[in-house]
Amino acid sequence: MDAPLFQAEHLYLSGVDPEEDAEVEAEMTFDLDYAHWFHAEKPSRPLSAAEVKKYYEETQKRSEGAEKVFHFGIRRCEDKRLIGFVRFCQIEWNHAAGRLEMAIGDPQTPESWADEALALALNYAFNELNLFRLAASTPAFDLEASRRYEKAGFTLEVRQREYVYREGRFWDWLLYGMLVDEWVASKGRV
Amino acid sequence: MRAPTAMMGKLIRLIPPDPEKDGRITMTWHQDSGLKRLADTEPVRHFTYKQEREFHEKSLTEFQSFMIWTIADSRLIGNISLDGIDWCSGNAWLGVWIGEREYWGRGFGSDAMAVMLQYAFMEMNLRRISLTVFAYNPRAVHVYKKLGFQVEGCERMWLHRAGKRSDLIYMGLLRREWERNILPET
Repeated sequence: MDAPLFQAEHLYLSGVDPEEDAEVEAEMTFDLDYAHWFHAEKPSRPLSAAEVKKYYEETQKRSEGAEKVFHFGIRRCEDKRLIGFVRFCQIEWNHAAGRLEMAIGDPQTPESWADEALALALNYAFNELNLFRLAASTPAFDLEASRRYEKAGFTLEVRQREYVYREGRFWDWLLYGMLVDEWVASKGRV
Repeated sequence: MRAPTAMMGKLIRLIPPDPEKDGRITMTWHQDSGLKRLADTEPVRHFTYKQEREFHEKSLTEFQSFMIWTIADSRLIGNISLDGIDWCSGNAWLGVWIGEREYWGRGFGSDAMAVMLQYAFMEMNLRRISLTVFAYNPRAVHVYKKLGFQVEGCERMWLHRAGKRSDLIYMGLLRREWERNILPET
């Protein structure tokens, strides 16, 4: 019961501060693949600090309403710098199903740290939100994300053919899923 | 350039919602819990006339929604819509339901889909239509397959209904598949 939900070896999950963090995260959105997670169904583009601030504020409002969204910043332990986000959205409590979105916006971050963030996210999804199943998705060109989800024990469940057009061609969109029993069985692997 | 029968199939016409009038009819469809369990993941519940009217008003500006009217007896029997439209990638999500049970299994939904796909590919210039369907609704899966949709996978045990877990099936139809399958017939 007392095991910390938010702390890993090199990083931790925290809240986001609309005043302090917006500028840092806005800078990361110049990576358009990162920015995509803030522009569902629209062309990707960088966000201004004011837009990120507004996004934080709206997310905080949504997290208090019926439609639950849980948004966390990922920070480095060494200097508390924001390096990405983890969020849980599209949670439907009657089915105990939810969706994980996460991205690292700091290119210096070692991939093993992203695995750490994912392990924290899974623990939160199954041990705190008590989900029966968790989904995660990625465009097929993001090989790192696919590798990360597969290594953590996710199963590739859906391949939406030619779902997204990026850089002059169409790419499949991959939907991964993990059931709580599978998470329990694979915990040692991440 | 355009045939005067646009938005019309063999059995049905697609007509934009009239929020005030149609809301009175569509709100009665929520009484049919069995239908709602086929169409929606949210807990089955009722909506007031005001909520229903506002939903149709919103549908006129925020996505593409049409009411399904029978040609033979001019009855409003269902709704079909394209939501989550991604103009950049040419993708949208299709949802359809026939609220009046006596029109089930007689080709009305399938006819509405055919008209909507024509609109999606030839007017909106989309490249792909996506949809999800519940594994315990094989009748709908059959209709979608007949129209050319392919199963692209399923989110395992997503649904929890009446004590049982069922898969959420994902289907997709690419424009070139639709052109190959459907166009030669029309």
